[in-house]
Amino acid sequence: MPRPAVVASVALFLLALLLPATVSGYGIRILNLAFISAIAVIGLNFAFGYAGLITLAQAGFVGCGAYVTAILTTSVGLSPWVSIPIATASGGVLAVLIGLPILRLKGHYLALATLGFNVSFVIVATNWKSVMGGTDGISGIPALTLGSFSLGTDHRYFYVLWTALAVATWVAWRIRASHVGLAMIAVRDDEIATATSSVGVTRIRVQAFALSAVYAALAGALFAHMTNFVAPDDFALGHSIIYLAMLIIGGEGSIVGAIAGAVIVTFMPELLRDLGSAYLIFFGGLMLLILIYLPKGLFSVAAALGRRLGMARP
Amino acid sequence: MSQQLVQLIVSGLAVGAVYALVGLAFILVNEATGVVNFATGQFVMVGCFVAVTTVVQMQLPLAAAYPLALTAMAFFGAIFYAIVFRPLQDRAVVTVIIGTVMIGIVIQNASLITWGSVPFRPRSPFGRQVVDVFGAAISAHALFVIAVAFLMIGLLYVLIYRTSVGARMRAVAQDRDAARLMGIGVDRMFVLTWVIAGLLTGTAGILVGPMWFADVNMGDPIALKAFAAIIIGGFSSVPGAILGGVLVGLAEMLGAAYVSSTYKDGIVFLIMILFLLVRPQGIFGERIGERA
Amino acid sequence: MGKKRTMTRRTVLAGLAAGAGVTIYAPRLSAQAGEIAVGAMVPITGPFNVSGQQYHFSLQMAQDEINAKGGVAGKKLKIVFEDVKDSNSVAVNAYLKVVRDLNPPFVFLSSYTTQNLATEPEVVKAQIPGMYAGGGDAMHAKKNPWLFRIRPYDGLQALALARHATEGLGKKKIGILYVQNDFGQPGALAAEKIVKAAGAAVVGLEAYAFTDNDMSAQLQKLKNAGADCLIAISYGKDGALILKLAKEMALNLPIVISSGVMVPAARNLIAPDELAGIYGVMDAHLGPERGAAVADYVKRFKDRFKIDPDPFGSCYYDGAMILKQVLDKVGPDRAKIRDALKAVKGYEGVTNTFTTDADGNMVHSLAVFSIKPGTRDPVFLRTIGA
Repeated sequence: MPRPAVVASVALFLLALLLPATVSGYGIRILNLAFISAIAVIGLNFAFGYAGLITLAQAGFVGCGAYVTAILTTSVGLSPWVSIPIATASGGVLAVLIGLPILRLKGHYLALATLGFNVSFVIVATNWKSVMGGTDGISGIPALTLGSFSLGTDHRYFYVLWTALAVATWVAWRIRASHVGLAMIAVRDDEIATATSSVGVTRIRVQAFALSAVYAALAGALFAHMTNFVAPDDFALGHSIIYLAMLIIGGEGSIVGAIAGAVIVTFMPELLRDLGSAYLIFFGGLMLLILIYLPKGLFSVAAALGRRLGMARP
Repeated sequence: MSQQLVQLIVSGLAVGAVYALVGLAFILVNEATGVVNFATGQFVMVGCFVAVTTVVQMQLPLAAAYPLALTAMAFFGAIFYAIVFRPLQDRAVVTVIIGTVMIGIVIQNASLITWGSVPFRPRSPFGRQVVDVFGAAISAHALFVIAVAFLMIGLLYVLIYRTSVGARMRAVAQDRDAARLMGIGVDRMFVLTWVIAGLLTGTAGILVGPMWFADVNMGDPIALKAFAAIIIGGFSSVPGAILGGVLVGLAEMLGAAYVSSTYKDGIVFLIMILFLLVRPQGIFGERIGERA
Repeated sequence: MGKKRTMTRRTVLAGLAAGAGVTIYAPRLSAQAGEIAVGAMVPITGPFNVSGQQYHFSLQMAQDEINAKGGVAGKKLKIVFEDVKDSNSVAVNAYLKVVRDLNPPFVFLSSYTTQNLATEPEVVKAQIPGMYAGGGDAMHAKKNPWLFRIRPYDGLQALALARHATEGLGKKKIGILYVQNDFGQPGALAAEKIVKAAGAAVVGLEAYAFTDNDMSAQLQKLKNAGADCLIAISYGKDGALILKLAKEMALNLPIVISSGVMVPAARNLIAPDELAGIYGVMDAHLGPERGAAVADYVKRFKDRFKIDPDPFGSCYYDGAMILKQVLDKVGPDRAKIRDALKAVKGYEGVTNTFTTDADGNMVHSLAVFSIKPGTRDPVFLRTIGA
């Protein structure tokens, strides 16, 4: 990524800190949801954007994080500050357990296997009433507090999410530049060459999958403490597709693109409220057009635009 | 007790025959054009509702309504070829998967606006007749479903393996470029493939309407089971789709009766995932065809 | 070409950015002076839109009738509708939009329990009174003092189903078939308890998934377990499938079925002979026997919207009329509205008699129907109350 773009992104990100002061109550909630999705989509970028794994399970891992923290804070009574890290890690553990066998699969086989996982997650969450609450879900999930200071309002929680997103972005950047990140991209770009050590390939794929699940689980845990309620509905297969759509709209293989895609897709229903029942027709059609005409996402357009503007100036 | 078993097996066969038809449409498209069509379930739904239009809304006699609905589905396949398949055909697997998922969303919501969310119950050619099979009361329509599904599958088999058009389709499926060099109209074969997919799913849609009612949300649950069926049977095999479909149908019925009605869908997906892990080529599959 | 394309892309990006800015900053909902604006969370689009339409229509009718007679507390009543589709998160967002843009004294919540459960934490924070129609017992178990239910809760429905099967029909071996979700599962367990308490046996409890198309295995299993009567807890389409299959399989058992299948859209899926031997419960009875006021309501509704009102939606008409009385009395003050709603006693609405209990439930009975032989028409049998 060219340096001015990095500077611009960082500046924009810092500028976002001013938003709660100026934005009305409803807009801040949508921003919060966008930030939570952005964390999940940055994660998805490891598996899909870098390692090229077609996964339709991201919502399942978001659900894993959300449910683990929900159960630990309500039934067990842990503090959210303890349960959120546990929930985040649990996403990674689950991903390794599932990933070790299924990541030997490729292409649409992997898509179907991960789809099967997401469907199964919802079936279990719906039916395991004693632990996961069935379709009634789990309520009474506490909001975050600092001492006696509640972070429960959307305006305060914005700063929690901003910090989480900043850290998540920074970590993703570091991983991208490390040999782990390079190995992931190598797996995607030239599987045959890297496949000379096929044990290594599976290991890198599992790493990418687990990282993606860790981000997803963190997003889920943060979601649970914002809504104070979780139910299977929010983690169904359709949401996995939305996460993929966010990444594709923003531009796969790009962290900034992942964030931009999450923000755009989260705000889109608000922008297009007047379409009413035609909204999903428009959304699906738009996605198809992006896939056909802008396969690298809107971010590639922005980058091209940035380059043009950069060239135009002396 | 045995009467219960007959009941379950016939119901399972009827359900399984539908999955087999849908699975076959999926396999046919994947083998011949290399596209994994995640909108297949929506094809079935559209087929079902086109029949609702001809049977219920236009009040045509079935002898006219069914052919008209199937003709419409053949066109639907051709239109899908033109506006979805052609722009996506040479893209990466993932682009095609997401693309067909998205077009599925478009189709489903357009149908919701067109036909509304109130379900319909189109009539069956056999009315609500019930037949006695070894002491079990079976609806004549369920037997009709089994018969027509296997007839369609037989016709497809003859077309692919016993006609010159089928030979050309197989040539295109094996090696597109070589087929082109041999003077085969590759694009024409592609159109034909999508038209046949429209006909297979259209038949499935017509068959399920009187049995399960027409509902715009019916597509995805059927497609999920059909996916499970072809993974179990084999992703690139016609007999595999049939066996897989029947197995899933039976697993659903017998699982609900003898294991747990709560977890019967879980059982199907568990079997599917076990197959993916242990034998991803399925029962009949010869190769794991990863096509980019 | 390159230049032109960039220009369009730039326009697109600028448009997106501007649009995002507009949505973040501009509240789209607003109340005018001289109006009292309240919110209503309605599934206007998506798969729930049939029940949503009834809800939408009955509130529109209530609003116009109230305003034609001088409004509420000397002001015009304005009901601001927000679409909650079929998703929890959409419902929560819709609620927050209404609450924060409009700052209303009152909000009608969804008729779907999970959506209300998801919204409930925000009601706690916002402290705005509301009425809702979702039946799930998990909702009133929250004991949220701001929320009031304007239709029978699911536990009451389970009670009516179980009572009618045991005491009403005198059956001793009951099989229960239920849809596997927040509606069917607790309902089935509650019905099981009541059946046992009535001295009858539950010979089997069988579930099916909401998307299932064939419940013959479950029906067969219950029959083989020796059931002499079935209780079915279902929605509309799945309930219709159950009745169709039961007839095909010649089960020949009386079936007592929950209210979803009794709405006209679902009953029209079922042939009259498939409805023979069926007993259905409904939230309310809107037949002419109920008197002139109800008959007039049905006529007004039908004249305006060209469809028959159903009890699921009509309870919102009653809710709006109760709200009018309350607003006339205490004005748009949230805590006072809440207290006045708590004190509602013996209000005669078109659907039911409304009396608020400690859990915020305002309705305490429902009606049992049989089907007139050879038709799809329900025949009122009796009322069962808690």
